[in-house]
Amino acid sequence: MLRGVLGKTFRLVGYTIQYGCIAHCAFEYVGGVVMCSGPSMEPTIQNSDIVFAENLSRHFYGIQRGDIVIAKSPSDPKLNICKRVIGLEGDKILTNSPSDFFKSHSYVPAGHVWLEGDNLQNSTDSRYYGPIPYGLIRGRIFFKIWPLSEFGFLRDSPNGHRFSDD
Amino acid sequence: MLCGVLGKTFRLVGYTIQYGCIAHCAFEYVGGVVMCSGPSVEPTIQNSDIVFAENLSRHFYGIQRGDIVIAKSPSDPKLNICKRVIGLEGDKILTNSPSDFFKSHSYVPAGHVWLEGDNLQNSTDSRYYGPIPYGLIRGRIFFKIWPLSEFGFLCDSPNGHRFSDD
Repeated sequence: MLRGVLGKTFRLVGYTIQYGCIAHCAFEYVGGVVMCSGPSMEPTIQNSDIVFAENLSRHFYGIQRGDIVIAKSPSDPKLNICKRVIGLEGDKILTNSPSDFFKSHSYVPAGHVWLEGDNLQNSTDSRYYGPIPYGLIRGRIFFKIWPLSEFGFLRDSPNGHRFSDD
Repeated sequence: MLCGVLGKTFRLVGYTIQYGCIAHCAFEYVGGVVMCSGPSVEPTIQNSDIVFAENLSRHFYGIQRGDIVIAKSPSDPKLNICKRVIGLEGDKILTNSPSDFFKSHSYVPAGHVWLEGDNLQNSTDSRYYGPIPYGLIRGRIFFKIWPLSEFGFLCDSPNGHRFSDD
């Protein structure tokens, strides 16, 4: 009797671990549904929007300028951040606000990316903590599923960045 | 006949994916065997040594000063680096060689760690690229299994660091 119960328990635990692992790998390598919070990507993504993130681009090193990515926060590894990629390694970045008299530039170092939120006035991003290593990127957001009025692929940056191949 | 072959193929693919996912999660969340290359952590770990790495400390944020960690390289996300944790966030770090006349210090920012190889004269580490975000750490090396003459737990830093709780 006890053996039967123990046997059933082990089988249940075994199936749970099995399907848990498969689900984890699906989320890790393919993608999943994410709920974003915070104002830093308005108007493209609002607080409490639900989006699809895919993780294939990261693994194949296919993240491009203009992509919206989820990354681990450089200031707190327990948190994720959601920003747009403005520059890849080697790009020249304007690092001061347009009202400054003297423009200052810096170059994104090897293995790093420069992130900025679409809501430039209310976003803590690379203008504050500098470029972040590519290794912190977790996935790319490409599709919004909630609210239904905004269902569809996400727009380009509203801030007039032109992403060319130079 | 064709149905039978297709059915067998799908079952095989299904089992492969299933056990591949379980193996991946075991390596990702528990740990695995790693072969190190390079001179930067000599004499503690030599080129071509084989070690055990565990990934639980990283997930539970239990990495401590003095641990040897594997991390993604901040200059190239395709590479891994293997260094010792010298400082955690908030620690004061000496950033110049002992022969300099004026000592210079810096503090490790929040969410970052300061890494140095045991082979200080032949190691590219935080003294070169600065502190790295905790999110880049992948695992902790704690046991050497090859060569057999050095089988066992790894020793403390040979560089006289004293890791206290201050």
